Amino acid sequence: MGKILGIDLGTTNSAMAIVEAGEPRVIENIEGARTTPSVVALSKTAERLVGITARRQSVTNPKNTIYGIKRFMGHRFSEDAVQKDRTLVPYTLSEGGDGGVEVTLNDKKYRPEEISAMILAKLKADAEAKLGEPITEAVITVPAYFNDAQRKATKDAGKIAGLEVRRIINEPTAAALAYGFNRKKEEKIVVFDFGGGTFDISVLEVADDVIEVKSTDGDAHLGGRDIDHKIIQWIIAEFKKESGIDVGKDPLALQRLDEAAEKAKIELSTTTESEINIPFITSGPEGPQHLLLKLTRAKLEELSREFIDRALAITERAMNASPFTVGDINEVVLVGGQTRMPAIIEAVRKYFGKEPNKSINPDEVVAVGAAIQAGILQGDVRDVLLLDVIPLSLGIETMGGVATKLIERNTTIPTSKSQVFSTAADNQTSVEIHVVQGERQMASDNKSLGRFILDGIAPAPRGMPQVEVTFDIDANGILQVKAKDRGTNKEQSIRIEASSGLTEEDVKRMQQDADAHKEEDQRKKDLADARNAAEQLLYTSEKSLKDFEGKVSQDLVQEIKNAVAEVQKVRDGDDVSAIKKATDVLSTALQKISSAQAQNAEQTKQNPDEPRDADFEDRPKQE
Amino acid sequence: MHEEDLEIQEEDTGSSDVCKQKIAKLRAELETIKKERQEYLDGWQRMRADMVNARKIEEQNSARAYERGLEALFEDVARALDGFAAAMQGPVWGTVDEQWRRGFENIRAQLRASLERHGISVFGAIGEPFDPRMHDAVREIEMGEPGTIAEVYSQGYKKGDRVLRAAQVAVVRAQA
Repeated sequence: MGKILGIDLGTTNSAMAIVEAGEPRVIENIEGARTTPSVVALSKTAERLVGITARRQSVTNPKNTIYGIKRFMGHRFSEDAVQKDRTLVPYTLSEGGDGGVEVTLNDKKYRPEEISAMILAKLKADAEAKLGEPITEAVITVPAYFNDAQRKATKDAGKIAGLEVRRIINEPTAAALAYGFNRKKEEKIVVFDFGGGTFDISVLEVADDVIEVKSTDGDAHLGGRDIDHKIIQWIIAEFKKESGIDVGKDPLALQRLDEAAEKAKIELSTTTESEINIPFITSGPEGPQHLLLKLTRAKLEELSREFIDRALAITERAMNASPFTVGDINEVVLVGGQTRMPAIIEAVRKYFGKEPNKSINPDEVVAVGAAIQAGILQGDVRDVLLLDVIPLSLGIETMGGVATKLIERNTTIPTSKSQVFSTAADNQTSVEIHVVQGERQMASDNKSLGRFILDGIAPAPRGMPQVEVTFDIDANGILQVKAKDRGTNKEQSIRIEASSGLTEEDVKRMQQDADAHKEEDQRKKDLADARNAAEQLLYTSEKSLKDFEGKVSQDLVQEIKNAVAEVQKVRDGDDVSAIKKATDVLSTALQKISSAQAQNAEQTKQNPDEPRDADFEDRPKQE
Repeated sequence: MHEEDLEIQEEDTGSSDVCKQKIAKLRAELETIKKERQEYLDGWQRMRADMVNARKIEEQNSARAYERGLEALFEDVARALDGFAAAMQGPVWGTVDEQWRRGFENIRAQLRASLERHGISVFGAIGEPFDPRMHDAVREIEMGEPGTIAEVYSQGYKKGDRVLRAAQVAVVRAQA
């Protein structure tokens, strides 16, 4: 079965996506762009152009370049909206035989459906070229306020383009689908769509797998372009103040300004200041003039304030028209490129009192949602094989009481992971494997799932034995932990059922605990690390002093002994920096041995199979 | 699919009727298990295929992401080149000290040459026929050969056949 294409057929731009291997993916058009201008033209040579090429030639061919056709879909010619918009477009609109709207392209009349079909046909052809397979079916999105006639016209456009339209869905619904909100019960969602030229707000409710539009409002002539114009006007005014020259009439200068303004606006979404640098913008009586201005985010926000306020007033209207209060809303979704602006995000956050969803590219989220609907229809989003993730990390306790994670939380199961550990003391013949669950740094703060002992390890200096620990979780969440001594091949294991009956609240609480104790835990971990390092160094010093007895000067021996005493004094205290300082002193003293021995001491060869330097806590040491 | 008959071990010395019933039951069970096994195998194969496909797509995407990164860098550099173009057009440029002028022209040539080495070429010249695949018409002008480029506001750039940035041009208006 072929793939079903998800299409966001927009007023200004369109986008498309498919679901592949269960994941939605945006498809680029043939020009390599992820969105396609919704513009159609018939060139002077009677060639049909769609998308960016149509837009590029529009000034040379305004009467035969159709943009914004979506505004006329499914309307009757006599309607007020049509009569009003008619005066705003350079192409010719007329009344069709059935009272509908017709546009003229090179003396031939077309219905809006046919123009939309040309856009859809390009998307279809480009998708086929990219995917290498024919596309015959589609899911197309329409604004929530579209009536039956408008929806039918959109469906017809698909048919003319050679697409069987499997479903027409609302744009806000698609956005909610993209975020997976259809899977939650009883959700109340607001979709805030601030695009390049239009603003739409919708209030949705999810109930029994159906997403219902409760209210919708908007402004067909409010968008990001308004903000761009405002920036351009500001730059022109600033430049005039500075140089006395008005660049507002110079088409070349305006062109460069337009680009620079948009670039500055985008940059200010991530920075607080942007430089607008246009060298040689024009020539004055005193020679070439350069434009160099700083636009701050604060200034940009001041320039955009009126548009943001307008959008918020409309939002309030839509909320009032819905059966909900602001406090009822569970999720807010941002759609449209302009919603990347921090001031807009902030305004939305403030109004709804919650963080809006913005992780999916706002230019693509509607197309992605359409693709997800298509995926459900083509059966790609199957529920048969639900892959679970583990909610909390799993690991073991290692030297100093540190929890060493083997499997991180949110890992998809089934999965397995092995890591090699070693002993913490000389001639240690057994290790205890303490399995813990949770995000905290110290083992004792996490949930203990079980413990077992692996013994029979051949006596060896610390760090030499290699103990391989393997965690294996099956699809049911059952954990098997196995420890194996590579030296003797002895092994021991434990089986832990599920996550030991943790409820969703437990999981949430444990995750929150980790966040709440983050700093404190980090301090404990740092202390444990410092102590472990001190321990290791003491061990090395003892060994070195024995090995090099009589081979180094008495002064150096004394220096090392003093340093050792200092480390021993502070290592059990809580002062991390004191421990670090003492170990540093000791480490420097120890290095003097090697530099003294550098000439005659033979380089000990590194064992290539050396185990990781994470060590087990030694089992009852002072027994 | 042909499957060899299931061998069933006889328990005790039950009557042949009981045995037959047992065989029938086990056969039915086997059928279910065969069906399930096929289902699981299918699912497993599909999963493996999905993973391989996802990896392929990922590779394409990362290659594309790399290209996009380069293109983004290029777009920024192109603006600096526009600055050079703006400086050098018009009569004032000819009055600049020759050594300085040549120096600047050489820097511009150097920048262009480095783009060329990465396969990026410049296009857009007065007199060429207007082609919306390559040119972005900013406005129309009355004088000249209709349908050709009358002025170039900013040069276009392409890599192979792919237009990275259309040239911004003024086009001579066609006769009505």
